[in-house]
Amino acid sequence: MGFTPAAYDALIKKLQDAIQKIQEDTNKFVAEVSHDFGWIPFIGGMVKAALNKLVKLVDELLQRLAQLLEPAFIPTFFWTFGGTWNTIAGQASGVSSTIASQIQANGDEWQGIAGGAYANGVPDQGSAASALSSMSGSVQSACTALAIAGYTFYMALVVGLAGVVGGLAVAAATGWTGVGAIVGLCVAIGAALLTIATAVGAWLLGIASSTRSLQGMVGPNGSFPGGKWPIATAQ
Amino acid sequence: MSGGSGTNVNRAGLLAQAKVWDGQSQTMGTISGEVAGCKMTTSGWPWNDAITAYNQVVAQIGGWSSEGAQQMLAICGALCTAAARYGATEEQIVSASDGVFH
Repeated sequence: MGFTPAAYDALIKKLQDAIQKIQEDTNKFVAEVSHDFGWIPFIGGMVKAALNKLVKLVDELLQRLAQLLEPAFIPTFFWTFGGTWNTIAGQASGVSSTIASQIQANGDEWQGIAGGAYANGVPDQGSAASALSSMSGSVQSACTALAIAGYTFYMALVVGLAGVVGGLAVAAATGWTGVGAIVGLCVAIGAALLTIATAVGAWLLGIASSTRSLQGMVGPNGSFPGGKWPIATAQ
Repeated sequence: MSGGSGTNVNRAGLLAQAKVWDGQSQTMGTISGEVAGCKMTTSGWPWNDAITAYNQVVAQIGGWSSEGAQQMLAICGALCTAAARYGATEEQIVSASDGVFH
């Protein structure tokens, strides 16, 4: 799934527009139908009951969507930081290879300085820089995966809401066509809520997987004895 | 030239190496700053666990980068000291260490 900040922003905007459209079309439809039928005894009561159910479901849907959209800004951070980690990985790799060629060119001299203390400590500097580069690459992968998890999730919401948005648009445009239409809308909203629940499940699994990968990077690492950058010179 | 310890060292070579380590130290310092800038200062369900783990990695790598910069500068310093022992001038040492050592 191709994540770009622009595509992601466009996706979130599409979702916000869909939410607004659901709200507007529901209000329009309820106002029209209440106006036309609400005053008729018995039938009016039946229509109102059906409308109330619809309104309650739409409210539930909109509240859920508002809650899910609240952290929508976070994937962009992960994406941006992922780019920086990629740069860092390249820089650290450059340090590592510069040190490696330095040692190769001057290996004999290292032996001569300070009784070989450097000869032992200096190569560790290159290994540590290399390990730091590789870890930065892993952080970049995790950041990218997290950003894409967000993109995939909100894309699933847009797709899952399409039926509801379309159904309400038709209802708002045509007005009353019978209780069956309201029931149909309620069924579509129920289906959308289920789709959302499934999408949330997949989203949480994706985030948890990248979280575990990040957690795995914290702690002991052979290139950093005692959790510190290796010491090169006699203290 | 020949050193007092009986090993063959080259003063210009030591200073050239010092300069390389100084450069790598500066790059590690740059990395340290970039890592610090990657810290997430935001939160929100369901991202909190990921953000916590991410920031722990940021702190760890940031710490290592900063220590790495110091270590490489220390190597530069040690090479400058060694070069001084073999007669390097203050000017040469300042140049090799970007003014850190003299």
